[in-house]
Amino acid sequence: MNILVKANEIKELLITDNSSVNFVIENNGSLLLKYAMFLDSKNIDISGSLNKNSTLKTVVADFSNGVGKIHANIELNEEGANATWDLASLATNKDKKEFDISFIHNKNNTFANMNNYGVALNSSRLVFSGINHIKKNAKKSNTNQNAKIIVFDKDASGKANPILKIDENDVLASHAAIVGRLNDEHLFYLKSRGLTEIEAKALIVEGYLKPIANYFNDDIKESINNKIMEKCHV
Amino acid sequence: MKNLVIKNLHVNVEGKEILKGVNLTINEGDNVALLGPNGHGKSTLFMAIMGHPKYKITEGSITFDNKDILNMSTDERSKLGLFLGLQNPSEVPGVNNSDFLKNIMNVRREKPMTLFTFYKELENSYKEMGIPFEMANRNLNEGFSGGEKKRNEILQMNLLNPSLSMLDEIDSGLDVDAINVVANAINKKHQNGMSLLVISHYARLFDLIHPNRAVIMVNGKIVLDGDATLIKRVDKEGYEWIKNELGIEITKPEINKKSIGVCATKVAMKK
Repeated sequence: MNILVKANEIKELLITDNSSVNFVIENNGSLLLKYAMFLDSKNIDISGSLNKNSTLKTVVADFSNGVGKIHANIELNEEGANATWDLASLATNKDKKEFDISFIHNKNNTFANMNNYGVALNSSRLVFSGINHIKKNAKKSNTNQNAKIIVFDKDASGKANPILKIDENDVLASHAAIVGRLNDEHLFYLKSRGLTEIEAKALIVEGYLKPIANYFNDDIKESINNKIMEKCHV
Repeated sequence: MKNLVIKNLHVNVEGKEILKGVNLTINEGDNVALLGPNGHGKSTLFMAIMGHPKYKITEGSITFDNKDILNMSTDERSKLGLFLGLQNPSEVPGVNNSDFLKNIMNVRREKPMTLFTFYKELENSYKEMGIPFEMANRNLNEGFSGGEKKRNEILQMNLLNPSLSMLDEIDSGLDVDAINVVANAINKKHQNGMSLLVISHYARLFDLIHPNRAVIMVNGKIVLDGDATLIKRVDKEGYEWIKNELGIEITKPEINKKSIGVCATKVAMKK
C-alpha cells in the first residue's frame, strides 16, 4: 500500500489486515499509522520518509498468532522531522515474532522515539531489534529507544537488541532494554492476596500491554482485552 | 470458631529441615507475639501456612476454621481469611498498584465494585495509612522505600479484611510516626475481631499492639507458650536464659560464605 501525505495534510490510517505500507510525508504533513493485528502473523514491511517539519506516529498492537517478522525502516530526511513508534506484542504457544525497527536521522534537528513492550508466554520467542542511526550532518538530533520484555514460562524466550549508531557530535541519544523473567516470588505474592495463577498472570500481562489500547477505538480495545484474557487462559 | 491449629509440622526448604515438629494453636481473637532468634524458623512457619511452593511440608497438619488448608492453593487460603504481611514484599514489574488493589478486592466479591466505591475506599485507606494517594498510580512496590512497602502491606490488610493476619517484621524500616500509624491500623482491625500472629525483634511494636500471648520458637519448634511478660524478658535478657532454664541448646544458623572478591580472596577463604 502506497500512502502520500501531502504538505500540511493530516492523515490517519488503521490497518487490520497485516498489509505492508510505504509512505511519504511531505512538509508539515502528519500521519498517524495504526496497526491492530489479530490474524495469523506474516512478514510486514513498513517503510517511508519524512520531510521538513513532518510528523509520524506509529502504534502497533500485535496479538497475532504464528511466525512473522515486522521490518520497519523510517528515514528522517529533513529538519524538524519527528517520528514515534509504540509497540505492544503478545507472543504465545509456539509463536516466533521478530521486530526489526530502524530510524535513520539524515538531517539536523530530527527527533525519534521508539518504545517496544512485549510478553512471551508458553514456548514462544520474541525479539526486538531497534536501530537508531544518527548520520553525519544530523546535528542536534534527539533519538531514544526503550525495550521491555517479560518472559513467563521456562520454554519462552525474549531478546532485545537496542542499537544506537552515532556518526555525528552534538546529539542526544539514549537506549534502555530490560528482559525480565517472571519469578515464583512475584506469583506467590499476587496469589497470597487471593488471585489465582491465571488472574495473577493476566494482571501482569495487562500491565505491559493494555496501555496500547488507548490509541484505538472501542471495538479494537475490546478485542485487545479479550485477546489478553483468552491467551492467558491457555 | 476461626482457629488456626498446627500439629507436628515439619517443613523442608531446599532439602533442609527447618521446622521440626511445630505445635501451635491461635484462637479466634488471639493476639500472639512470635519470638525467637534469627534463623530458627519463624518466617518459614508463615510461608508454610500461606503455601509458598519452596516450603515443602513433610509431616503434620494445618487447619484453619476446621478446614485442612494444606490441600488448598495459596489464593484459596487467602480467600479463607488468612493474610501474610511479608518481610520483603516483592516489587512486581508492570503491575499498577491501584489495578492490583482493585483486583484483589474484587475476587472476594460476587459482583465487582463500582469505580466510585473502590476509589472512596482506596482514598480512605491511603489517608489512614498516611500514604500520598498519588502512589496508587505507581507500579506495585516498584521503587517504594522499605517503609512505603510495609505501609502498603498494612493497607492491603485493611482492604482485604482477613480473619487472621500474620505480620513478619512489619515494623522494620518504619520511622517512629509510621510505627504508630501501622500499630493503630492493626489495633483497629483487632478490635473488630481480627486475630494476630506477629513477628518482631523489637518490643516497641508490641508495646503498641498489646499481645495477650507470646510464643518462642527455637530450633524449628515452639519451646515456650506464655503471656506477654515473655516479650519483656526477651527484650531485656535475649535468649540465653532459655538454654539455662529449659536445657535447649540454641543452634547458630548457618551463614553461607559468599565472596564477591577476586579469586585470591576465594582461595584465601578456603584455607
